[in-house]
Amino acid sequence: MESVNLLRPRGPYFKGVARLIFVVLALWFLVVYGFQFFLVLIQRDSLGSSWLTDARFLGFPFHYWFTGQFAILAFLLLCLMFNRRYDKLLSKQTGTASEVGGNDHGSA
Amino acid sequence: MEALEVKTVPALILAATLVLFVLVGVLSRVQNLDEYWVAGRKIGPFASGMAIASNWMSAASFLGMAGLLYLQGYFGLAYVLGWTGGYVLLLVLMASQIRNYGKFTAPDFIGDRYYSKVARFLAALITLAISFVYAVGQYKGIGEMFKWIFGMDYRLSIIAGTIVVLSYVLLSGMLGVVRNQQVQYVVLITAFLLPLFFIAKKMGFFYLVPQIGYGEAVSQLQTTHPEFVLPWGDEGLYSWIALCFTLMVGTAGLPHVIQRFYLVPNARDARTSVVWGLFFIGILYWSSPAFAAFGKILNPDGGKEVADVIIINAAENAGLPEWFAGLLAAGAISAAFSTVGGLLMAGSAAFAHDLYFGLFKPTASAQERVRVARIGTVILGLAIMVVALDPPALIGQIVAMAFAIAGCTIFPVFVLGIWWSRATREGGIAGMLVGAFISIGALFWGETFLAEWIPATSSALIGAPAALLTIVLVSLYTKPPPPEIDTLMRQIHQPTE
Repeated sequence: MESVNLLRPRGPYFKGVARLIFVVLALWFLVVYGFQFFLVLIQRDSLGSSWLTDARFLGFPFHYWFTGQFAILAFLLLCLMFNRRYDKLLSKQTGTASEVGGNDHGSA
Repeated sequence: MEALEVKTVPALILAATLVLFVLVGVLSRVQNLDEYWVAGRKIGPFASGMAIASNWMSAASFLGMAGLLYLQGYFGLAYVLGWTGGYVLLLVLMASQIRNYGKFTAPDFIGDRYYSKVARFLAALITLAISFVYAVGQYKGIGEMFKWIFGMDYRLSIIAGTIVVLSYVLLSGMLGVVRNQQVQYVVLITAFLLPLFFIAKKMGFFYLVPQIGYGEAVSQLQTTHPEFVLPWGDEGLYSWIALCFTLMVGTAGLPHVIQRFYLVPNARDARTSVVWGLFFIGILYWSSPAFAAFGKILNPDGGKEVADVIIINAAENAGLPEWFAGLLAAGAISAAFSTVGGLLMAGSAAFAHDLYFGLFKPTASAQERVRVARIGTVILGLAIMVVALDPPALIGQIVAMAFAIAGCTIFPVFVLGIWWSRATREGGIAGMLVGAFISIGALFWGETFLAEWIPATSSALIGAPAALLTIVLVSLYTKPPPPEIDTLMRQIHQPTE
């Protein structure tokens, strides 16, 4: 049986899984770290003031709302999205396979 | 000795809560209820998610996080995201695969995947270290709460708290208490949120949803205390990112988090439980910053002294009747006791099962094993107390150090073990050693320049990649794994529901 390597997925199932993982992690990275980098990019003083810290949303300074509230929501949405896509990949895989598990189905 | 100024109502609430949990635990055992099955019927990912969240509740999430947010403002949000965002990593990289592997402990999996008793032993030691540090943080929380309720000084509170928590754990063990996590979650989240509603109301903010209402408070604080609100008011970008990343990979590397997944019947339920778990955890983590903001307005200059008890402080300063604060204290102590119980049990099991009996007396009777495990619990419990008498940092920071160790060691070996067939035994061992050296070393290298780039709470930004790189390089230069590992990989990656 071929070896497992996330960076070299073989077969439509694993290729799909790898792509999904990368997309979700890329979005996760952007929401958390990308946003912080952006704050640095647009800041006008060393404390980090910018038009994002001046703006208001639901009573919050926008940057605070984004990191303190929205990010957690984003995590939930990312997880839901991952699960849905993963379920689809699974049903495609087990639907086309002649038996469940143990076999080399889906190999390139 | 002067008379103690005991706050009677909070003391009674505490006693009632502890008794309640023990009673529910005994009832759950008598009716044969366990985590996932009720009268033979599957409860489902909803309840399992609640159990995950309940497990996650500790003195750090109850007290520590609000305290760090209070002290460090926006920087504290790195803790909020760090302790929630890690679940995305867990879901995406590990949940199905771990469930497909079956019932195990983290050292078991590592021992099997890396076909090595040495790797298993090392993982068990690391797990013990993680549990130890994590527990020290809980003890500080217990100490602070006992100090508040019973009016003793901190050290006496630690000793008293240790006696009570060890009794609680041993008694629960002897009664065979089954932790009813769902009941615990509901009780703890209510204890946490109820006072928050009333604080918001008293202070004139939007109290129906204080998690939104506190936004106004933060905006207010932007004028009076801008460092609290602005991004780099406390520390800079690197520190924020290092901390957040460390906590996230630490979450996905904590043995007692990873080990929860075998409880669900299949991989799909494992994945759904994570989402529900994250939701229930989110309720708590959306709320902590509110406590911090209200606390800061009411008591802007409390500083480190008051940080770890800020939720109590906020309730008192808002003019709430004492029993509200008592509810918070009881909730915090129960959460801490629960966590300590789990850690001590896991730690003493590792001590008895893996170390003592594995090395000295493999033919010991079941009774002897139980006895040794109990002795191990007490020894461990006392050792933690010694360190907690002089805590090195705030609750949340101490717990973050435990996460740092996990993120530098367990997380890398799991991720590469799962996603790269070529990872070898020597690579795994080397990786764990490098990660352990960096993360545990960071606890001791004090104020040197290293502390700026590899702080004790945030060492995994450097440590995890270092460990990953080590595993890769050493694996490539050593003999590939034996064919049984291919079978194991096939098993954990099989695309079944």
